[in-house]
Amino acid sequence: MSSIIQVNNLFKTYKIYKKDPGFMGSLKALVKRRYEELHAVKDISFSIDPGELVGFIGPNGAGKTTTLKCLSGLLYPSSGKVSVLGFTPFERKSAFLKQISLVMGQKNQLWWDLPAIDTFLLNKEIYEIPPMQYKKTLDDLVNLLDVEEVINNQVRKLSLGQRMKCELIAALLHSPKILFLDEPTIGLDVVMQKKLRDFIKEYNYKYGSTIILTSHYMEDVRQLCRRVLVIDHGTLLFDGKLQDLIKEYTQYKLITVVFEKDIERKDISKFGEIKEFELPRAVLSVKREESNAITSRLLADFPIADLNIEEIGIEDIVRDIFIKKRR
Amino acid sequence: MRYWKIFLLNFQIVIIERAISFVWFLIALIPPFVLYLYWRGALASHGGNIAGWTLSTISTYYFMLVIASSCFMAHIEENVAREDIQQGGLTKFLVKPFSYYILKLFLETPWRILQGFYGVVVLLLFAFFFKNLFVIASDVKILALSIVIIILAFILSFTFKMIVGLSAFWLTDVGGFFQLVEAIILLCAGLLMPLSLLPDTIAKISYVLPFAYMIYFPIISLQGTQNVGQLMNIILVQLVWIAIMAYLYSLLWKKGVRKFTGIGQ
Repeated sequence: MSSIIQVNNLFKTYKIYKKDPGFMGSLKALVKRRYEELHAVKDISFSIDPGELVGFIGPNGAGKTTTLKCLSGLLYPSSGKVSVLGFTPFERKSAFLKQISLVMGQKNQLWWDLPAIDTFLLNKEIYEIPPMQYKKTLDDLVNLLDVEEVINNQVRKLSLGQRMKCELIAALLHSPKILFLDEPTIGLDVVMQKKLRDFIKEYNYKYGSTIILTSHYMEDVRQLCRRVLVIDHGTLLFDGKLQDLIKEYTQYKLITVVFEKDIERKDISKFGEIKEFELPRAVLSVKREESNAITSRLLADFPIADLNIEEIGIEDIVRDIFIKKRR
Repeated sequence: MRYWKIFLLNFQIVIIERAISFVWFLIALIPPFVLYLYWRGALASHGGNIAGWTLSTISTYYFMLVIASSCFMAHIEENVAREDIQQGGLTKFLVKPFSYYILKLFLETPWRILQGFYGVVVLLLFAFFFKNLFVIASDVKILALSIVIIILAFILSFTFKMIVGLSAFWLTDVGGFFQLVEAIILLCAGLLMPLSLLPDTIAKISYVLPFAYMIYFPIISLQGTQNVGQLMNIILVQLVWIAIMAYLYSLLWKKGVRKFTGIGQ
């Protein structure tokens, strides 16, 4: 399958003004301004196939949104080659823009003082959507997102969740081949987050659109993306399946044990690192390859009421990756 | 048809915000009215004629100025600079397969139409109560050419204000620059007084600059003080300035968008 997105050695550098602190610093800046280069994205390469749902993970300022903006044609790369659907995004050709869509959780395209349906009509004209296709897509999306009741209400009267749903509809009316989602669930409550996640998943499945997602909520990534790209300080740290990320970056598993009788801390310290010890419950971190053997020994040596083996949480893994890389 | 539909959809915003639009119109009404009172006094102390301007021509000028500054003069620069460039709103326009310039034109034009409507109402009331103080061209040809000049004046001022708005790509604080532009327009477009009353050198400079073709010339055209040849000349100069502004806009847009970072994200 040929890639729909191809990024080779992408760099994006900003020139930022630096000022020394205090009044003297301001005077100095009057004479000579000091600029520094900020490398938002450094030598990133990857490709994405049609229909993939890919998550970008990284802390604030990591370069996720910058990469997304380069892919959607908002930013001009400092160097490197970006090809999306065979187009150079920054040229922003009409044929390219008609095949993509960008939804930003912190920005809206809906007219604030008019009902969402008016923005939908505007997009129908802007994207030159044939009337039949518009009606069918709108009906589909309205049903999927369950917003039939609210699309005729003034946008300013909608809840954040309803607004985000309408934003998604506005962005999807022209049935884009690629959908860029930048923090789509930001600020939403957990119920609405789940509803949006379910929608994104279903949309990807039903329409086969390629979806690129950035999110601070690991749950979004865990639930939606088989493949993740981990970015920090503008560098791509990992590109692969979420499960491989867990395997690659965790040599440990967590064993949670609930004992039937009290035991001494030292009795179990030989099995691994004790993460928690609050009787009757204890949590041990053990090497992956030894986890089965240790479980057997624990069951044999101690009176155990309950035992659970689990992977280290994805949030912890990602946090560990970023902390290790920064050291 | 597509453009017309997009225009009508944009028009709805102005219908909703008609009250605030009326407030802006009232604000625009005050300075010309104050200036009119000043000139009324000045004319009275100079035997009713200053350099060919009489009470009726000067009152018509200032009342037309109300319409001109609210109807022909675009005020899109704040929106472009602050909402779109500085707060990152431009993002939503950049990913759309439609010209940013035209979308903004469709956003601005309804405001000018509504304000122009308020202006015409005030002007008609004024003309009804003070018939002897109101002088307007009666020749159909002159009126038709004046309407062309008004439309071109709006396109010129719109393109110029779009350029002023694009300055936000380079300037962190656009406020000072906007004030400077407003001061120049105030003097050179004839917002303070008819340009023919300015000192000779300033008047000559103003006739060359584009600002007079946004306000002053459309007004004196409507007043019927220009013949067909002069009106054609105004149209020609307007077209030249529109071409220059369009080129400048396109140049700055291309350069500016490269600098755009979508701040606020």
